[in-house]
Amino acid sequence: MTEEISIKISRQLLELSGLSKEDLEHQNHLLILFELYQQGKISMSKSAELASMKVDKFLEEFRKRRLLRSGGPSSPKEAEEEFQATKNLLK
Amino acid sequence: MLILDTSVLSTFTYLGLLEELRQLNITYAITPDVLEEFSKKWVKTKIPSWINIDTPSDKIKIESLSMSTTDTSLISLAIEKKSMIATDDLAPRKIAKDRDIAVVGTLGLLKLLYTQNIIQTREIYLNYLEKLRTDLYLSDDLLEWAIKDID
Repeated sequence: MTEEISIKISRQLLELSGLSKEDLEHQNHLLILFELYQQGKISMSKSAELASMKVDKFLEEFRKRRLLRSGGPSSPKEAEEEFQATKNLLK
Repeated sequence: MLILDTSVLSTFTYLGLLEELRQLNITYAITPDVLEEFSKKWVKTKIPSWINIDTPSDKIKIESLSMSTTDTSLISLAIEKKSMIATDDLAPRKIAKDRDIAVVGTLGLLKLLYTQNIIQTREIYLNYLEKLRTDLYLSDDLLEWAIKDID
């Protein structure tokens, strides 16, 4: 399901991008997904699904832009708690 | 049991450390959805036989706009098996923690490999950390934690 919204960008930016309106729409969609994924609002797998891509293709697009995945523990305290919990799994 | 998601499984494959995970002597599992995602990305890598493929039953239904069916399959399996999840992905981490499911990421497992002497030298460990940083953002604080209290 899609919803139509209009976004204003400068003519200069449109010219500089060299993209057609359709390509710009696609790029915009992808950039929003990259941002939401990096903010942790949606998972990688969900981002790929919303981009109508397989996860590997989505990651390829992500890395093409030299973006780094964000993730894992948010602080040393959280990292240490997780580390200690994992130690309990050792046989 | 530790249930691996695609992000952690792929990162350990990228680091060339999948076999080393086995040496931790932990029981590992993935869901069929994770297997499918992984196999599309790593066509030449077969999932080792020591990683169990477990399908969650239909009893536990998790729904979230922020996650795909692959992510929800992990959470369902973790609840069902009362297990821990290994993921770096922030959205499933948050949902797992809200449900009191223990979580670990690549960094924690990497440090465990070193502290258990499976990665044998500090230099090699630091090289893996550097390689990890080319794929996953690590803050200075987390990097400091990763090398704290190690010889």
